[in-house]
Amino acid sequence: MKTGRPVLVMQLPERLNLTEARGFLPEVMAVLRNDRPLIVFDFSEVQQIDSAGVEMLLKCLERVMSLDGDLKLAALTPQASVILELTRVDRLFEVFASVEAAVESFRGFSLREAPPSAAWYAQLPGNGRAVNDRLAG
Amino acid sequence: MKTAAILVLGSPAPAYSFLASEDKHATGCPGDIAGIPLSCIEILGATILQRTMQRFADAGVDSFTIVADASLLKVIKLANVMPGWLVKINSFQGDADVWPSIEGSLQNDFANETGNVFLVKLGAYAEFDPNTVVMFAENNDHSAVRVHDQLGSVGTWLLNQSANLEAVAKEFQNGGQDSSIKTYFFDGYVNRLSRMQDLRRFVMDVFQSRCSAQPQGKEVRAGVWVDDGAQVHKQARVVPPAYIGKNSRVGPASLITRSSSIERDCNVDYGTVVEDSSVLASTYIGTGLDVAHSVVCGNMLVHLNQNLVMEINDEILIGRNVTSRLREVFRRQGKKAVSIKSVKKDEHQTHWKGIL
Repeated sequence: MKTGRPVLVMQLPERLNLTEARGFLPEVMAVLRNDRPLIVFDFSEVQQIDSAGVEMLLKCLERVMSLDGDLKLAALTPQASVILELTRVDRLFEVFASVEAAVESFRGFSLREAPPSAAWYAQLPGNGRAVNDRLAG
Repeated sequence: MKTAAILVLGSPAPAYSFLASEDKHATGCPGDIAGIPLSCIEILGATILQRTMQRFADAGVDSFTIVADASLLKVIKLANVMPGWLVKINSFQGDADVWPSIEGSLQNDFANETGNVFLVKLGAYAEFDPNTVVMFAENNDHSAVRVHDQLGSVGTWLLNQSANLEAVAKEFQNGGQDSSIKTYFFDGYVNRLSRMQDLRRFVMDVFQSRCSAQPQGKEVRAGVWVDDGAQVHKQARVVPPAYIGKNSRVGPASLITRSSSIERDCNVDYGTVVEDSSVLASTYIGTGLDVAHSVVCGNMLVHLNQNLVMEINDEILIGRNVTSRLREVFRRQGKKAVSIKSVKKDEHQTHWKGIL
């Protein structure tokens, strides 16, 4: 499954609090006019995120979904990761280690690891790896 | 030279343990799901039996015999609609009758000028190339070859007319290795499907392209496969990778995430989250639930992290999907359940995405 449509990468501010979110949201909404937008939020500089930031993410997702597009998150910092996990918002999004991987995922589905919460998967003999890895490991 | 395959399905209680614990009796769990072996359960739109047969058919095997316990015949008929394939079904009753049935099928195949016969004890899903096994046997003049990966047998033998059937019978029934049978090693993907965790692992391995198996249906966007007649509400969120099976319905405000699969004729109701889970065919998941790290089949929930099986006898929470149950009733009465579905579709016409 491949798409040739452009992917928009948006760098999120260092502090994603009420003030910043209020400023950032209109910026995002301004670009969400086309049908089926493909967006990646780059979290690499986000050091602080609060409930207003999370709400902003959900508003963006709602808007993107209404336009039949998709919004993915990339390069989550540990701080952002903890907050998204705490609020259980992380499972609403596909999360990628890098912006490049997130952009690439729109081009075609790629190999990804099991979610860290899948404890049962880690306990399996072989842990989903190939036979050779299993024997070596 | 013709090649045939005999696929053997065990009795309704095969050597499967349902959970990671090997002690089936302590957990009170059956060794299968509602009397159906794991290899006959649809996962990502096809059973392991169908996938195995497809692999053999792709390699040029043109005749199949399924040898199965009599009580499984109904399941096999449901699970194997293989138009254009020559599939014979032989049944047996009780363990003592298994090998005589296989032997009868083998002799029948050899009498029909079949050069090589694959004997497959269904259970594991193994991605070896059947043609390479045939070449290995022919080049080395072996009459019987067992297929192994590095961890052991994958339950497949290749036999020709001069094979020592007594030795094969011994190995088939009791395990072990007879010296008259040679071993072919391969290095591909194998999932032994010995417990429920393996079923989920198969789903994840398919999604992560660790094996060559593919979900059925159409990839409507990167990593999301949707089969015929499935309906996903506009306000539902499906996070890739995910699979939505035939005629299934994902309700408003629900979330399918973290490599989850919803098999055919399921109904995930309003606001429910399905995370790192597989919902097996004809299952209803009620409103506002959070199903995580589980396999759900009808009213049975297997929690993989907790290593626990629960039977939930409350159809408001989980149970058999009413639509599929009504469809069965209508089928028995000779009416078409389609009328019910079309009414439902019209009601919500403006809200449902047209993935058909």
